[in-house]
Amino acid sequence: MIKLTIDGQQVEVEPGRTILDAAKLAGREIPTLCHHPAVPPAGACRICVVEIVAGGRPGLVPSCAYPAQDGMEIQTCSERVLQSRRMTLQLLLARSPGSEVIQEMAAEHGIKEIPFPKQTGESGDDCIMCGLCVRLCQQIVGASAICFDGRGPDRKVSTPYADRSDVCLGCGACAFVCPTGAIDPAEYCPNPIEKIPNEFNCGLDSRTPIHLPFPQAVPNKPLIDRENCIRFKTGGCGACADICPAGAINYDMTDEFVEEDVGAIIVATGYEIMDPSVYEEYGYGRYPDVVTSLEFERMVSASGPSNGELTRLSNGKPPKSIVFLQCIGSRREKNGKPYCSKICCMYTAKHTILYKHKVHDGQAFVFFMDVRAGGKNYDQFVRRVVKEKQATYLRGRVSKVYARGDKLMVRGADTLSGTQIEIAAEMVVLAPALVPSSGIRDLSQKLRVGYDEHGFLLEAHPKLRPVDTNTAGVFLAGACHSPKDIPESVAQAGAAASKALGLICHTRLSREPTIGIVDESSCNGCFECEGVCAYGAIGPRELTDKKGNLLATVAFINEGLCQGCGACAATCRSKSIEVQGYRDDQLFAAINAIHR
Amino acid sequence: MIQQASDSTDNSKWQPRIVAFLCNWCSYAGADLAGMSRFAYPAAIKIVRLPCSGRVDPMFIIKSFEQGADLVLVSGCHPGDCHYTSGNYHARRKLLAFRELMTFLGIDPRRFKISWVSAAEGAKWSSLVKEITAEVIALGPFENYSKLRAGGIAE
Repeated sequence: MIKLTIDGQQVEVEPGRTILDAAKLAGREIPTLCHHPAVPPAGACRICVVEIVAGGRPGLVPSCAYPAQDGMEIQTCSERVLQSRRMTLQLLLARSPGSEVIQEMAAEHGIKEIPFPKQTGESGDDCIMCGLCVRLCQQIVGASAICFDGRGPDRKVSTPYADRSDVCLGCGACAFVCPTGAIDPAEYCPNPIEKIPNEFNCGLDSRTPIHLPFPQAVPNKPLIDRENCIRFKTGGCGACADICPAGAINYDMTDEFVEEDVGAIIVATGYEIMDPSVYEEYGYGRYPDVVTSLEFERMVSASGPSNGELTRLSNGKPPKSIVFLQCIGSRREKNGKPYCSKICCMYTAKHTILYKHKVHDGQAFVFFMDVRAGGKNYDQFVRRVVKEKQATYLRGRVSKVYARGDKLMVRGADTLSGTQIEIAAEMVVLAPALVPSSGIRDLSQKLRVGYDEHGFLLEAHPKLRPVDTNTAGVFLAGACHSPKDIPESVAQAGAAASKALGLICHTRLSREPTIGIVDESSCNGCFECEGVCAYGAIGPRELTDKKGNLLATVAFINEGLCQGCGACAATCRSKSIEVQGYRDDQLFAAINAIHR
Repeated sequence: MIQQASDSTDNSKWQPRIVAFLCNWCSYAGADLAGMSRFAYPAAIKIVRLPCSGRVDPMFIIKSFEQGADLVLVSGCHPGDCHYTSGNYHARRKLLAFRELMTFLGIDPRRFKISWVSAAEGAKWSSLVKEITAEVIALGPFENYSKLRAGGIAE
């Protein structure tokens, strides 16, 4: 190990590490631009200079490239270092006066004026000529699509002969590492680089192929979208594996089927919102400022596409007036869902408050059918919104949303005053109906759980067994069962978990006694029953005499597997199978009793 | 036969009698839901609950007609939704074949209905019963078997 002193602090590093690595260990921050941990250093930008005071040749050295040596004494912010950094920043600022990163760094170092003429136009772009992108493309990605071109003042990052590159993979790694955001791979790439919509933000911004599914995801680990990943598309790139300090990227991982034996299943597949563009009158999909409530939720979220700044998608300005339309598709017998989506009244009230937090002088309107605020403190919440003038509530429906100038005209009825009104809005938020997750029908058929015409799963009894299903061991939680808000979903999930635990904590399982029984004296062993049994519960059983001679092979029903459907009993030609509780004589007695 | 049947509808005392074989998980639950939701439907229908429509033996249907039913309904889960995976498929195949044999048995095949009613379809159950009751009233009473019995041809 190498021992050195940084700003008076002792540090130990492995041989071969740089002064920058040692400074990081010591907790000293050194500004960098052309440095990236995955790319071999070049010491090009010279912003990371430090001063060797003792233990080496005294002077200024770039810390990102200079190896740490035993007994070194380093100063990271001596006057000489700061003077050098200021000079470097002044030169960079002269070259790239428009770069925000350089401007910020210069401001941090107290630079207000620069003694050099600021370059403008092509020679004064954001590129600081650090060459990090070139080194990355050559040494990490291995494509060598970009290089330095020209000399002196004409030097720039370009492709050979400034043509569109044949070898650029379009991986975008250059843009990812560029400290000033100056490079755009779309200029070099032979194929158009398509932006991948960020699903979690409703496609309001884009994401990279390797990404975290959403903030605070569990597990909070990135995943690779194989369809869009350059590595999987072209076999090149692989930059993320080189960059990852933990070596956690593994391209050989594949999807796999995991089989588990379980005693209970809880279905909690949640909901989706219906696409409101089917209702053309609201203009969703036609006007960018007509958004769904989910999109609005992301727009006002601090972790959303605009970092919580609410702006109109059409012109980037904050909306001074906003109209919320409830029941878009809900409670609509024709071309919609007849049920109430339940959560929209409350989240719309919340959205009006969020809106007022973002746009203090804004005016919010809510068109509603009925305010259904049933729940603890729910009604008080909505009343507060109305009373504190967070929003103007209008009881009625909207017939049309259309554009006039840069505004959206919302035409609707106020049924309480009996008037037609028209509001010039800058943003319209729709509250679409909740629908079960797509694929719910396939899943429910696999689990043999019933579902209603809308795809919501059926409980065993609407009042007495609201968490159970008719299939033993399958329980429901949340909006897969019906539209539900958070407290209800949490309560149902808790109930489902306890029901599941109650089922699997026993050492013995009780079951319905209605199972099939074979009359071995009359069974002739045709095994028609075996073919109709959906559970594989029927097999052969050999009847022998005391000496072990085979007398007959008859059907045998495994009691543990039989579910008692009776298909075998109806199929048996010799009437040798009876389902307990639904025997032929019992059913004939029932038929006779009807006609008594 | 049908002409005879409609003649006898003049008998004002006649009340149609429908025997319905319902699976426990879908159609029986659907009929239950109809009751819970207060959907009214004619009382002409008498229900025999079975675990599955696959449990229906054609003998049950013949027995019902022999006992004086005017119409028999078998109802189960929608195809694909059987609680027992495939019982309704067995029922469908078997009972459609059975319907082909009904004329041979002297029963108008229109007196036999198969339907699929899910546990969520209380309203459908109610309208189905109304519909088939109207149909059986139009068909009139089923008298072929009772006439045979009256003529001493059968017991």
